[in-house]
Amino acid sequence: MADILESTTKYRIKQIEIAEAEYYQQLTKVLDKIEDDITSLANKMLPTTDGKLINLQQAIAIRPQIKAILEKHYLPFADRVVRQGFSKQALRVEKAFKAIGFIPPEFQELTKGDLALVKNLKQQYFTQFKDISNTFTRTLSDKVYQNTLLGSEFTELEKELRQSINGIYSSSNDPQMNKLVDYVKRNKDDLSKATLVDKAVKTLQTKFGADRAGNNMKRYAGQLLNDSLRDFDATLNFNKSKDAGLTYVKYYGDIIPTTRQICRSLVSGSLNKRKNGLFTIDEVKSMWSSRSWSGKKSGNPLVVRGGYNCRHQWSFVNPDWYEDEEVLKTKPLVPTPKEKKSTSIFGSVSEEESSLLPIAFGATASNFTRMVNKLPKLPPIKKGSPAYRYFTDEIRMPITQRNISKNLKDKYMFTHEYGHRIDHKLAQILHKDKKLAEKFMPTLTTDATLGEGVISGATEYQVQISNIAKKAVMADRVVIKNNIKKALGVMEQEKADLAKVFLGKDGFKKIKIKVEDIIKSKEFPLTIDEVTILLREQGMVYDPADLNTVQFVLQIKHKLLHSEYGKWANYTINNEVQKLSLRQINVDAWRTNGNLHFADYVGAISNNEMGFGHTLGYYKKSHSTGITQRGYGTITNRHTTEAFANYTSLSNSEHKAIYKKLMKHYAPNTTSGFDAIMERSNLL
Amino acid sequence: MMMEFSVLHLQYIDKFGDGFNTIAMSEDEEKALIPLMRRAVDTNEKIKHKDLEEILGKDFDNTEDFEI
Repeated sequence: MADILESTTKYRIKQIEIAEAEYYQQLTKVLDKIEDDITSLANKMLPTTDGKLINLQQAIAIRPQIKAILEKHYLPFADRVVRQGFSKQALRVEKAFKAIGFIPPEFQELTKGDLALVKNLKQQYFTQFKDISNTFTRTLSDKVYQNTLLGSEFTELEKELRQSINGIYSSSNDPQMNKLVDYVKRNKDDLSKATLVDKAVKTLQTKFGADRAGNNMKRYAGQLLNDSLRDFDATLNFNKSKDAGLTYVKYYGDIIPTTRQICRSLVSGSLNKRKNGLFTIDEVKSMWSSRSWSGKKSGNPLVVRGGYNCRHQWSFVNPDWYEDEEVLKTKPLVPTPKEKKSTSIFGSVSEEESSLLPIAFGATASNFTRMVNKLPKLPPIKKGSPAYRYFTDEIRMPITQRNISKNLKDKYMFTHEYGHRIDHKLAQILHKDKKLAEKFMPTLTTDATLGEGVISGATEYQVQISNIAKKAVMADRVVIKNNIKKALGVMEQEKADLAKVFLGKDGFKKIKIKVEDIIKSKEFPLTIDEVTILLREQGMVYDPADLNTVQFVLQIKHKLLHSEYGKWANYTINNEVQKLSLRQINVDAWRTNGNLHFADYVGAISNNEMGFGHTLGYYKKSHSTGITQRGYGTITNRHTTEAFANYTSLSNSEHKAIYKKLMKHYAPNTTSGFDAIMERSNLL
Repeated sequence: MMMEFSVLHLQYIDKFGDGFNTIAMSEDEEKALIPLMRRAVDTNEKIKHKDLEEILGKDFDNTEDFEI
């Protein structure tokens, strides 16, 4: 299929090959220079008697100079590859995305997030190049020392040094060997001479003892040069495609004699699952995990591809681009805008938003930024207690609380309010565009298909995308409420047991072990480090022998939280009947920042059976979503929207991975429901 | 949420059935509410709407078209 996708991918592959050939030539020159400089240095610095090395002190003193030679010649080369080579390839990836044209314009260009990735990859690969330099400084120095220690001939050392740098390509005093080396150097990429090159290599290996596969610097640096350029291209391409929501891939590249079987089969189409040769990312991952082959690299198959020295690349596509199974559409699905394109991942935003949104949602594209991107500019933020007014699309924040880069509590609050805005404004967009709504919602829930509370409500302003998850909210509420009565007694008994341990012999040591055993257990959702982080955000120190830590850990283990409306009930603890309620369980570790938003998340889902933040009166003064269950009340618009606003603030927290685990632990249905909504951001 | 505030808030809810939306409340607002809540719990009389408006703003109770 000769389509635009194929030509853009081949363009990327071809340009890498050109760059690689150019840099390989430079590497050859650099290593030849290093070889000459080092042998000349050894000749000058290492004294000999009857041609044999004798001075160990000099053998040690030479090391810094070997290092200096490598750094002088090799590091500028490495710098050139990553600085110039990677930057040029990044621009080619951008050019390829633009040429495809099917992708929304904001994802065709290199975003701030892409540039940050490019910077990180440059640093990462430069470090790998530097590692080779360090390794061979050590190898060469060791060779000097060992040969001096053994009193070897200088010529023997010289040969070893040359071969450590260039392998079979090292220079020699033997003209026949040099002739063969030259021949291999000149023709190693010429397929028509492959047999003769192999014969020359064999002669070098057998007759001259030279080792192409050995540990020489050229082999490692050459392989890193090849892999770094290709892995860089693959990583950037993967990242950009992920941001653009492309989840299907196609494999491209030529077949040469050394092509691995997996690459050969993918390119030839013998592993195809569809006529058009597309694979889902999961299909690729499963293919990679179920096969093994020589030179396979660990890691993401979309990045590492066939493995070391693999010259193939994936291209990412959307199956919608294909009119039938095979033919790529010729007209872009997304028309090219005539206006000047916005380069912000947030789309067209107000001045206030342009300073607040990157702090609230980060500078890299995510499901949230994709949704924000679809919203109109936010009207000026008004004074007043933090709130979102859905009739007028206004956010209120006190002037003193708008410096969200400095104040964490205010950052959580602004992100929470913006979560309400996403919830309402997107539903309004869906309300006006039924086709988009059908595309966005059908597979989520039956109710969502009907659009009740999502695209149709009392007024168009009261519709919310969070209502897609209203059944999930009720499912969690039922589990949360049912759990409380039993878990509260079990938790208090466990606390009493721990108190006994603490008061007994070596109590201080034993309680630490017991508490850490709880955290390390399979059922506990967080690690010790994660518990430490959450406590630190509350201004508390993790100490398994401290009551605050113990209570925090026990509450998470038993999926309990403080409630301002908790009911009292009788429990038997240590054979004594006691009245207990969630009202009296410790709240110190949940008072502010992310933990407070988490308490409000659970409060919104459970109608404050557990958790806190909003009042019952507030939840009650709201429209029903139509979901009611006897004994568990009604899910109102405010239950779903507050849960969603907290999900937004927690999912964009610095500790989002920890909060995601906690949200799934306490409210798995709602959290998965909201995740599913967010995952569909790429359909908007 | 300040510890003193949360203790009094519990008592206030216990006595009057409901309390305040604390998620968006600033520390200054909590501090200003503490003496009023204490007096309300002691005297068994809800805090006057006018006093709450002074601390929480005019539309604190009129959240019909607001989400906090």
